[in-house]
Amino acid sequence: MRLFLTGLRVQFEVMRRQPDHLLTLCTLPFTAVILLSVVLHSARPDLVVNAFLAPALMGLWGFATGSAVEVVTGDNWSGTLEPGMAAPGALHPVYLGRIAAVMGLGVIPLGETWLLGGVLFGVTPTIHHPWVFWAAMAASVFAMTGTSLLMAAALLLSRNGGIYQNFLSFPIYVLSGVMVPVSYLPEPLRPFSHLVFLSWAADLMRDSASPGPVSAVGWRLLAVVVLGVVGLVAGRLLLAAVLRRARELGTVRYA
Amino acid sequence: MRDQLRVLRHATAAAWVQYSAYHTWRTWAFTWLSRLLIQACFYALIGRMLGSADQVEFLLIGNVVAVMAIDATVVVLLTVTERHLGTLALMVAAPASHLVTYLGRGLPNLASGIAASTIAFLALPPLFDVPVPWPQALVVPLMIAVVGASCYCYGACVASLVLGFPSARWVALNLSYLTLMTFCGVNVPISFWPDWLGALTSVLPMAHGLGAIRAFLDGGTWSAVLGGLGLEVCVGAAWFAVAAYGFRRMVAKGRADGTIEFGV
Repeated sequence: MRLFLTGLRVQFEVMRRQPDHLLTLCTLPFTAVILLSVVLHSARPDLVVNAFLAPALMGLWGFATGSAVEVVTGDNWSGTLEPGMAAPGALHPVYLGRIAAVMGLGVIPLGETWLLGGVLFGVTPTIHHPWVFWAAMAASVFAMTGTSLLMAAALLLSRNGGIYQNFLSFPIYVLSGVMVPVSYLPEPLRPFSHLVFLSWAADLMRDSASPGPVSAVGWRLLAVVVLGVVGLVAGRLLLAAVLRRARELGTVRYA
Repeated sequence: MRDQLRVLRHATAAAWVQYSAYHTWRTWAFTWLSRLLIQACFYALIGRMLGSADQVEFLLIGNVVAVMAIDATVVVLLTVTERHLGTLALMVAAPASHLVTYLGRGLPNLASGIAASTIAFLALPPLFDVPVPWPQALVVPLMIAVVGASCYCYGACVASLVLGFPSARWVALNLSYLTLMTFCGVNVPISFWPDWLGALTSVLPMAHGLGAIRAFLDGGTWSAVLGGLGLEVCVGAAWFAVAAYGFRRMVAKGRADGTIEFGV
């Protein structure tokens, strides 16, 4: 726990000194304005909730594939991963703490989108089931932390992880139905959506904004959490395997 | 002029070596190109959700052209990298102008963007049942290239401003192309925005060129299409002139205050 808290503290300090980590907060308003303008121009107020939730979830994912993943890949690039490997404490809790710090900021895009919608377009969706909404958001942040650890460890396997980092945006947004529900995707793609926690979270959050009762809340929340746990465990195992492989192959540098 | 073209050829060759060290054709096709194609699909799917074939067409064509702007504006990052490499002192001392090197720094990325947009234009309309007038539409890639060149000049201008604030390069890059994607008629008509904002987009790249491409695909007159493309060229030329002035000013200022560093 101490190492986890240390990671949290270190990351907050890093983000304070390097505003690049907050890039998502600068780009997200444009995504929100684009999506809101499209649904309002089409006179589809029923889809305003989609246009609000999509940028929020895309922002959460953006923090994960941007700053959270770079916690590990950036250390590898700058040569600070190696001294960490030599330190007596385990690296995983430190990285998990640093990633959790980034993901803690992942809820800001939600507020940013709400603010923009109200100020620029004079619309804000009504959330009829706020507890469901916030539970889904909290589960998403947790699941995103686990998924980030998995992505970061996987990107360490590549010499040029940035290429794959770029790729992990719109394909996930389409597959997870953050804006357009999965039912609009071609039939063969739909089963894969169930493997992305964002698809469960987006559906649940959209349902929380409709006046009718939300079905199977517990099971759907559980799906988000379970996928997050899978990411967390897989990320931890993969990170350990990648670091062990680097030691065994003698590819640990001293920079 | 011939000397300048030779410098441009060498600068482009150097930029290509850097680009090909980052991307192989496989990583370009399977990560970058496929991501851009899926980005265009994301917006076309919104049109499908809206239940309107016209919206599908508007969003698909708009985003097929707009994804090129991402690559075109990467010149913002590349010029900052060039400055960081510490080559400016040598260029200032050399008889050729540093302008050619800086303005040509992102040409491989521009080519990548035009190629990606062209492939998207050829591949995606059939998937979304968007009608395209073949074979006349074969000229659309040329129009995309005109819009790309204009976006590139705009990116170069932003780059000339960002050179003094290198830590802002990522923010500047993202805001540059997102501004075009948001307000220049990519996802909603420019008339959706307040008049003052609409007027502002007329000096931005993309707005006129994309309008010309839409007019062409809708069977508009050649005068309307060529008029739009002509305005796009004028807008690009204006941004180019400002970019050239910005890069010249950078050197003049560096000479005056001794901030042109040699080496990294």
